[in-house]
Amino acid sequence: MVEAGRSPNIEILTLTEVLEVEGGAGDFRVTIRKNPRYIDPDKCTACGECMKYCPRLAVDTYNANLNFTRAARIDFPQAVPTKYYINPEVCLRLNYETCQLCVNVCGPKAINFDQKPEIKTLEVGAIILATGFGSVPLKALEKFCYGKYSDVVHSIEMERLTCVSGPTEGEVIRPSDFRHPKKIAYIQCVGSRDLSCNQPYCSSVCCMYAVKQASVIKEHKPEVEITLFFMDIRTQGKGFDESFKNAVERYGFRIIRARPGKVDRVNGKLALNYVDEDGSVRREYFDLIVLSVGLSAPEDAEKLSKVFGIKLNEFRFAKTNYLSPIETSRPGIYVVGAFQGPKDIPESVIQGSGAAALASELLHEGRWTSTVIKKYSPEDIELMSGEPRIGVFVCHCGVNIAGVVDVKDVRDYVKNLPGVVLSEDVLFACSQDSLEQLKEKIKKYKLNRIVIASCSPRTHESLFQDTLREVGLNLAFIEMANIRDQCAWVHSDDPIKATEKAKDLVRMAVAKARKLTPLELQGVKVTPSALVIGGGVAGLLSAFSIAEQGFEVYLVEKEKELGGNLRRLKFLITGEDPQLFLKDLINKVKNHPKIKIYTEAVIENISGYVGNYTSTIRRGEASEIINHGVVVVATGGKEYRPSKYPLDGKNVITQLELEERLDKGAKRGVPKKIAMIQCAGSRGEELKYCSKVCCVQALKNALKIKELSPETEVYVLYMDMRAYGFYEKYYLEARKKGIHFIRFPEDKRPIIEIQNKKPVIKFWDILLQEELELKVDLCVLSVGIVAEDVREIVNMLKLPTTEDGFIMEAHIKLRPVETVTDGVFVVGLANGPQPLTEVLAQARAGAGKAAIPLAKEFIEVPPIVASVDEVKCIGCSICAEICPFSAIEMVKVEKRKKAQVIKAACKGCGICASHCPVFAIDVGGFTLDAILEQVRGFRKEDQEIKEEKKVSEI
Amino acid sequence: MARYNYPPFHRVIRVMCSGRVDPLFIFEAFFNEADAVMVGGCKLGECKYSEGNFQALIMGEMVWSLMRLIGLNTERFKLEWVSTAEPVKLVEDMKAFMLRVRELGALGGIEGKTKKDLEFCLQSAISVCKNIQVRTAFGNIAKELKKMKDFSLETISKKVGEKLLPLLKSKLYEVEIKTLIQDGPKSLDFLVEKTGAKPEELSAILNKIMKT
Repeated sequence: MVEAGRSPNIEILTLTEVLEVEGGAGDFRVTIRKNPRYIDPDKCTACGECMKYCPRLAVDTYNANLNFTRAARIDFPQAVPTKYYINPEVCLRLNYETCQLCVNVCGPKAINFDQKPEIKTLEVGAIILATGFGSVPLKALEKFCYGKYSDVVHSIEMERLTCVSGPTEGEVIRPSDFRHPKKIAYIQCVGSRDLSCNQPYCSSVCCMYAVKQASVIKEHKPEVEITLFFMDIRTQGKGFDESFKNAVERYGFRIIRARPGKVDRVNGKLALNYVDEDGSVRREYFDLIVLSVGLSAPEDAEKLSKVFGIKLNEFRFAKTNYLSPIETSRPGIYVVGAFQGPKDIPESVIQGSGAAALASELLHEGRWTSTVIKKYSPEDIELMSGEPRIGVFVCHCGVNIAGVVDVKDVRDYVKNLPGVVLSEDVLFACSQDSLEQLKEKIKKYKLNRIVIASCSPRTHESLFQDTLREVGLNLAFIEMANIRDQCAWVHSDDPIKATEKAKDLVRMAVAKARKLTPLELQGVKVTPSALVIGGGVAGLLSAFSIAEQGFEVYLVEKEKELGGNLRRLKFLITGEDPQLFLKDLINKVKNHPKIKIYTEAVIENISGYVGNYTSTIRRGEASEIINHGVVVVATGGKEYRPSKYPLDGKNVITQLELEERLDKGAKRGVPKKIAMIQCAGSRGEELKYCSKVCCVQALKNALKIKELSPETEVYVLYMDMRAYGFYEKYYLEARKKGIHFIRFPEDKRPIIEIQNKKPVIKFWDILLQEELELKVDLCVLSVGIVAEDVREIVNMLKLPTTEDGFIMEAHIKLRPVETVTDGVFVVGLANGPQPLTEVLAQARAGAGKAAIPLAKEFIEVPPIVASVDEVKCIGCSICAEICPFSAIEMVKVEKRKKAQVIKAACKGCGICASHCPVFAIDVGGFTLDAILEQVRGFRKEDQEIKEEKKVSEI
Repeated sequence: MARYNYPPFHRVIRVMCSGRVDPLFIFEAFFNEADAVMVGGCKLGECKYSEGNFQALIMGEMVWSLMRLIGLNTERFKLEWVSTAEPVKLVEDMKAFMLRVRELGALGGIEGKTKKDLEFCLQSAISVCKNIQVRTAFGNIAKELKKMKDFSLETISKKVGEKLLPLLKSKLYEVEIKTLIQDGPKSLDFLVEKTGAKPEELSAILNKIMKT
């Protein structure tokens, strides 16, 4: 969020509505209405005085209406833009022409009640809809007496209650008497999988978030007993099953498979009635009931549909095709996140990157034509190389700092510190005129180190760095002392001690400033081409998208033919023809002038780093060396063949084998009685994990069987039917068509025996509580997916894998297609088991991410990086081995091994520096010298009154 | 926006990652009159730099080991893991820590050390933190645990106990003895008293010093 807020190429229009969209892909004209904020964001310093004095209470919608806020407010401290706003619906000035208190207390005079709505027209090439989800109908909640009994809350309310920055500071209390509940029940699928309120689909995320919330509650209050009521446990995401199991074990959650019916209140407790899996009716009491609410389409979906001219699906979400999951019905308009369908964070982020790729494909010819690139004056070497001449500016921040800290006292104290040439106090150090003055003072007093005693470097350092660069000073020559957030704000009860602390902090900052050394802003040249490893559908689509965005692609496939696993899929649950799609995609890739295909080829060697990789591709006897800037790993996966089952290819086969048979059609005749066994070998049997695709695959094939041969009896034996999202509708359809679903518990899996050449399945019937036998003509196993063995590639690229062999993403939620190695991306089954439509989104996302370095001629290396003093380095290679980003390599310099930092890959964490035996490696901005000097600055030189004090390093 | 007050007795030093914190920094802070030091970082498993805070756990173990050796109360050094979305936890952690430090009092008091004693042992600890052999052993543990993918506290304390502690001991005593005998020879009893080591631990070091 902060990054987007800082980019000069992203204009964030908050409080803005889209009124009309004209034109078409590549040339849209979008009319918007920008509603007034009543606070000028350029002037607002986020000091919070307006909110402090605003007399008008308002319900805090950000906190799920559990709390009060003010008419003048910010929703949460990290909001972007970090600026306050006035809610016109409740503001006294705007409604009754009274009050205006905020105008008087606002130091920077940012409040402006004369603002009017602005109508503007934007010219854009592509549109991405990321409107998020709406809330489920109240009807769904009222079924469980929400609104009638105050101790029935929904999960969004619970989310705020468990949040340490929420209305109760993380204390879970029940609304009726503010006591800590001892027994809590979670009811799943509220407003999901519920035909009665027209929400038949599964919301995909609730099983996982419920157990997360329950875990948070347990961490706060270990004595709470929590029971969760599930229909199915749908934790199908990568690593989710394991997390779920661990949480249940660790916190001792009680899991009940039932859908509770009635809620009533008896003696201050809530009673739940439900039918257990074995058919017995139970009644139990709880202190608090949490309804796990699902994700709905946005409330104004119809309006969005009208304004943007896009179609909605039957559930009012944006309509997309299974094979083009990010594209709406109108070309040039893409949809990502929950408006496309209920989904979790990783899926949403993947779609976001995928949409960026699509937009980049569409608009690549215009790349860099309207980009803002800031130019700076050259560095003043003479000024910078002289003895430190430090200028200190102590900020009042209106009354934010000056109201607590004696700013003038601090200013005078600083004057006598060694190296300080100038010490001044300013009203708002970050205001435009103060920045201009800063530049003048730098020139006038020949200042070459600046200390700003004000707020947090997190929000303001880049602003001051920019100002320094404008007058030819290196961006490193600023040090901030945070005397607002970490002093005035938090010690408002003790101004004397706060002033002392401010002096110490500034003295320590001045000490560090004396030792600041310049940071180098460098660019690493990029070879604008990509290596895509794997010619399955993920690799094909990634390659195609990168090429469409204007870059050369080398696509390497070890087999003779392109297409991978998709060649075996004969039909899709949504009805499209996957072979037609694949054929078309292969043709497009083969005929693309920017793609070079290598089949029957292997990667022999990859070396280099982001922007500059060199690889050797071997085909039989011949080998070729190529240079490329990025790598997309799409090495895929394959069907797992579980050893515990009598797979024989005849009477006991896998779903893929069944699909091939069904494709050959009814000619051969469909057997009369077929059983499918889910999780064969998965979820703790031979493979630990859930493969995500098998439940839907079983539904697809079962429905196909019913289509070809309605009289065939189909039995599906399952643990949890994971028909998540809109797949739920096929589950409903299958049930309607008379397909039998029989659940088995995890510890009593079905056993297959062959009697008289026919499979006999022995299984445990939960309802009858006894073992039954089922004789069938054909037994189909839903087997899992394993990753292809790509150890060599993984080692060459230094990629970590999960225990199960899938390549690990850099961050499971926020960076799902990136790896820890910069410039290397992972898509498709190599990343984790997932259905085709998700593979397609991920392949596009990988292409979108890969194109970021490719689009730039140079990659700017963030200046805070490590560097090695070659003279001191003893070549022990500790740093190279502990670097989390493989950013250090050992090279030979005059026959001696020396560490060398690959600046483009370094993230500046400094783990190397703290572990170097001889202090030969150091980190820009946080050098050993500078930090030690700052630590030494902690000691008071002038023997002031010694008192208890501490250093805290954060 | 909630701003939670907490006692004003600490001073903050910013680093990019808790993994940047060198054991040396901690002892420099004590030497420069800090009564206690806290290192804060992301929650374990949520490190922005993937494993910096795991590495900081090893650093912590080394610091505590060395504190024990020089006779400082180990409660004066603390690691605390807090997410950016948990201001309340941070404040609670800081309050609790400061309360405890207030009870412990100024550095040296509860430890029964004079100002001179303190300076002596902290200067020695700083030398140990700069020692190439000690740092190599520290780096090697970091390397090994990363390879094992095991940053559990048990493994860390086991490895530090096995591979670092003996070295910390011998280097510390060596540095201390060298300082103590700078202005002329001293009796073994005197050295034993000043270093807090056992006589047999010192004799080997003394022999080594004699040779050089």
